[in-house]
Amino acid sequence: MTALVEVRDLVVRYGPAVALDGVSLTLGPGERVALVGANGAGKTSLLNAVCGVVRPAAGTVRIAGDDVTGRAPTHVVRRGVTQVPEGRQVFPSLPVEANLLLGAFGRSFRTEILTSTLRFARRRSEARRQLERIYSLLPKLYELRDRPAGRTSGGEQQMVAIGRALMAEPRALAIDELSLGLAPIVVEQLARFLLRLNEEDGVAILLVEQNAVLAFDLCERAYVLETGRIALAGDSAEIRDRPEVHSAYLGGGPA
Amino acid sequence: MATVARRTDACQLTGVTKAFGAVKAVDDVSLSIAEGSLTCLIGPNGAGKSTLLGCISGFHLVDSGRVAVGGNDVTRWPPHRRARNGLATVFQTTRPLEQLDVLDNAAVGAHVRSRSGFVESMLRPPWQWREEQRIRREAGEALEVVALADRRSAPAAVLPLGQLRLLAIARALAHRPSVLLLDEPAAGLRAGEKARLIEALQELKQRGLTQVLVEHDMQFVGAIAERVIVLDRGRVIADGTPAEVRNDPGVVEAYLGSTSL
Amino acid sequence: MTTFVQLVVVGLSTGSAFALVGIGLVLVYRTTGIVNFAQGVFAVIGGLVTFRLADDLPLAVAMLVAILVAGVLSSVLAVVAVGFRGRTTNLASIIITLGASFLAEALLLLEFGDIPRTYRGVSDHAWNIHGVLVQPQYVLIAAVALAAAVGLTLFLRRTIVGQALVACSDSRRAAELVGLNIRSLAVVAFVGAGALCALAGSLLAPSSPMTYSSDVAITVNGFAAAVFGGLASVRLALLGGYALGILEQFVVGYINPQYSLIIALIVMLALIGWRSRGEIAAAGHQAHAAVHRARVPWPAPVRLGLIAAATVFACWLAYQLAPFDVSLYDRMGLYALVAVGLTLLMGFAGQISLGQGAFFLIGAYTSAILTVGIDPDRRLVDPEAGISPVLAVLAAPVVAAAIAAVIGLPLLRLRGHYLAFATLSLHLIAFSLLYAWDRFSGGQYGISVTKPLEVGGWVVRGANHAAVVWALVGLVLVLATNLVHSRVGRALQALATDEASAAASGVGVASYKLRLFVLAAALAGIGGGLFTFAFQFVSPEAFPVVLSVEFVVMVAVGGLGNVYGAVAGTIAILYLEQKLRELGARDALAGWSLPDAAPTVFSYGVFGLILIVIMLFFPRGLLPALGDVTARATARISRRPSRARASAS
Repeated sequence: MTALVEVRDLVVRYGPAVALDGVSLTLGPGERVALVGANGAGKTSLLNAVCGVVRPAAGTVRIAGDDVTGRAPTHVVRRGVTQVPEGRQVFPSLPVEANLLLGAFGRSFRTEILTSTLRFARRRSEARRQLERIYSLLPKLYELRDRPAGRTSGGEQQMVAIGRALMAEPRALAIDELSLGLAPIVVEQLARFLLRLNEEDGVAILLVEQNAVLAFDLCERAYVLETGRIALAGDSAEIRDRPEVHSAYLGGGPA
Repeated sequence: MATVARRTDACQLTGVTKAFGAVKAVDDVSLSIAEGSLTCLIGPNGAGKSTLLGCISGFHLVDSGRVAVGGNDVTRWPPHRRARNGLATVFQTTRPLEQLDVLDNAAVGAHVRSRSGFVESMLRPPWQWREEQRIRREAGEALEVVALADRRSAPAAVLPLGQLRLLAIARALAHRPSVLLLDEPAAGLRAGEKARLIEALQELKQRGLTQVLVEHDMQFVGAIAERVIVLDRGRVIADGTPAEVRNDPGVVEAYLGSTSL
Repeated sequence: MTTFVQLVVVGLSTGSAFALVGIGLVLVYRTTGIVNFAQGVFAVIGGLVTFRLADDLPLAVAMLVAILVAGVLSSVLAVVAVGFRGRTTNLASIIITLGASFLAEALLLLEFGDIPRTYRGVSDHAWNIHGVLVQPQYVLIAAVALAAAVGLTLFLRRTIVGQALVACSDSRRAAELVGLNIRSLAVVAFVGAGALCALAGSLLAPSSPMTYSSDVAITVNGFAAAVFGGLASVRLALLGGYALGILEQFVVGYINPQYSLIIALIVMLALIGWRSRGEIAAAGHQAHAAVHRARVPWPAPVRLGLIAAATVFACWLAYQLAPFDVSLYDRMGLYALVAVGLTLLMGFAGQISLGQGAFFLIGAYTSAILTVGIDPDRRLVDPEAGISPVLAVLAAPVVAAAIAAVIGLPLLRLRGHYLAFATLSLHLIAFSLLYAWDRFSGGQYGISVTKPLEVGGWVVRGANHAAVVWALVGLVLVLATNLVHSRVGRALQALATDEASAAASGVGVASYKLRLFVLAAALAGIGGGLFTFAFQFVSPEAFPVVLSVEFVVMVAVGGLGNVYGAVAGTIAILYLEQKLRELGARDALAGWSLPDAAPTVFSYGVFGLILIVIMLFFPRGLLPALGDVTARATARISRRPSRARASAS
């Protein structure tokens, strides 16, 4: 079975600094996979390379078999992978509903804006249905639909960002730092939601997360990243208590 | 009335708070850095480490509290003034001056120890010439400390990242500082380059220079730090030797997290 | 009372035009981060195209076609201004749009000639309401502006495309991630803005005839309206436009028409200053300008020797040239002085100045006025009024530097586009003051200086003057290169590379930037001071606003921060300009008949094109790029024999 997302020997550099030094991973359809590691390990670089924000210096990224290495984010969105960025990055001046609809618009976008708008207009009823779906999954968003996204709390913004990403009907969600800056109880709710989404709708999840315990609880498989390399990979249940995890974050273990 | 001389710490923070909007990046932090020590600031993402370093270097003016370096109250001083009074900062993103060679790059640091201004530089009186020779000599000495002296004439643009970091340190050393701040010096370095960096920092420790680093790389921290301070959400949650801190349950939880899923 | 209301009514209508332009600027800036210096051009296109079609088509249709044309041209500009992903900085975009405005002016001149054009508006008869004359055209334009503002606000809030535009300005990164194509959206923004401006222009032209050069005043006024809202708010841009229009009419009616632009500019500068008040100077990590590749500097004796030899040659050359060529040669030297100062400022401090022409002007008029006597009444009767020309020339850079020191402090706190506009305003204000204070400055007639510049009997005129100028260029090169290769030079390069690190190394960033600004002003000042004595005459004609842009072109060609390049760039550009002038002086070119203003505007057009090409393809400067090419070619040549040797063995 072709992996949904396949990364092979990825190298990402920022000038002379090496952020990723030959990293490979896979995400199967409907899987939940975590990417953990300390800050500076290269997790965000990996996600950005997959989503087309950053062009890798070497290596390949394939989505459902198609080579998308180095292509713009809009291609990746069309292939079925959307990102929930670090720090949410909602559009603060726009109301929540507009934020969500833009997620669907982005999916219809081609280079030329006229055809994109027409395509979106044709798919308008679909988009509406998607919107209803998102509101039923995340009822809080329906309450907040007219509020400018900038005036919602951190947890609510995270929901908006997830909803926006889901509006593109992705096959996989790439989430960057789910828990950053959020209260534990909010994180818990979001994690439960993601679990349901995955189990009921089959949306695969690639979770980049600093909070290793959360990541292991939520995801079936995990990769541990340490200074640009995969230090450990396997099923969450097996690897979570390994000392390498501890040392990846706090050092002092076997080099 | 005679003032009683006290042994001043190299650096002292008292009740320092720095907020960005509603978020307190640094929340009522007080600590003292002893002279000649090597201290590492660690903590999970968003803990406030770089902000704290910025409060010491002057790039962030604190909202409340006091910052003292070498006995001076520098709380309201801008960065270049602090640089002229014994502080030197090495950033992670320091780009070299590509038009110049390695020696000239290091010589930038000696700016604080020299006086010629625009007019003197244009007219080149004899004393400016002598000062320039002195600057170059001091820059050369700084390069020797970090073991880059053999590359002094190379154009800075061709150096690999590890040597660029060493060069940035040499530039800071040309200040003849009393306190050296480093923001993630090991970021992006390969193993061999890290080893050279560790050697350089240990050499500086031998020479009695006070050093404060922000770092993520725990192997690196374990190899050089005498003292590790752990920050989480703007507060100090642990303070001790690397071994003590590594096994502190509060630290483990802050880093690896917890849930009740 | 009726005068007051009358002025308000007229002000609301002109203000509406400014508001429309301002709204266009806000739309483009918010979506793309680019300030479109060519925005006013689309208003002119609106007016002129409507004019062309007004005889054959109903007015409304003619206007519609004009708007469509403007829209299409805007999309072209959008593609060029946004440039290549990642490589085009905001500074480059500013220069590109500036270049586009010049290119457009040249083309408009070719097509429409230089006579201001107008046509019948809605109605010739003004309504008389309680003694106040209200042209229906005024009402129309005010209504249209209001409708446009409301319409745009609704568009941005209610339609998906509008919301996508807002998303871009909120967070470009997130917009990209969601799948939106920033480039296409930029085109939409530009087209929308261009259409609005064309609408404004076609509504304005019946009461204010337009010609190819009308865009400058329109852009400046539009920018002032936009600044009112911090370049971010459509509503405030509308209000700002109205306020500005009324203010200008008050000045025209109650004070003096000549001051209207000046007052508008001062208000704009005050607004800019107020809008920037929270920002601290610098402390970012990004690099300014061109960071050249490694180049080993020549050792001091070699450098000094070469410069000395070149200077001697340059002075000798002054005596070999035919008299007509000498004046061009002379100007090359004078402009080179300005260019050296500007290249240091732009290359090391990363500050763009579109106002060096102002300091050149100030230097020239200082030396002229001091020589003929400050008191205009005494000038006519007393030939001994005024001081010795030598002292007057020496005073010129001092005055220029003093003014720069005073205005530099607040000015250098401004970011890119604000700084560009502020420095441009400097030139506009200085230029306008020449006319406003005409008793003092001689107004359009200028000042004729009878006392020659002489040193101990040796008259500095003609070839002598050129020789002195180039000798000065040589001296300035020595001093400038001394500066660059010194402790201060290192600090300046640290400043250009990474301001925050420079501050951490003890470099007083704000203080050094100010010093560079003052130095550049002083150099421009002495250039101007000597300029007076080239022809013993100064007049406003010699200091058009485009002069400031020319200096930027010269510096861009030579490479920002490259002192030798500045001199070479000046020579190249002035030589090119001369050739273009000769070309434009012909009566016809390739079938087009050329109007009288063609020579100068031709060169503007080519400058515009040069600026665009350089910013897109040679951001480090044309000459450094040529240097790279030759370096690579020579490297390849020297490698070939060894490869042959290797394969032979």
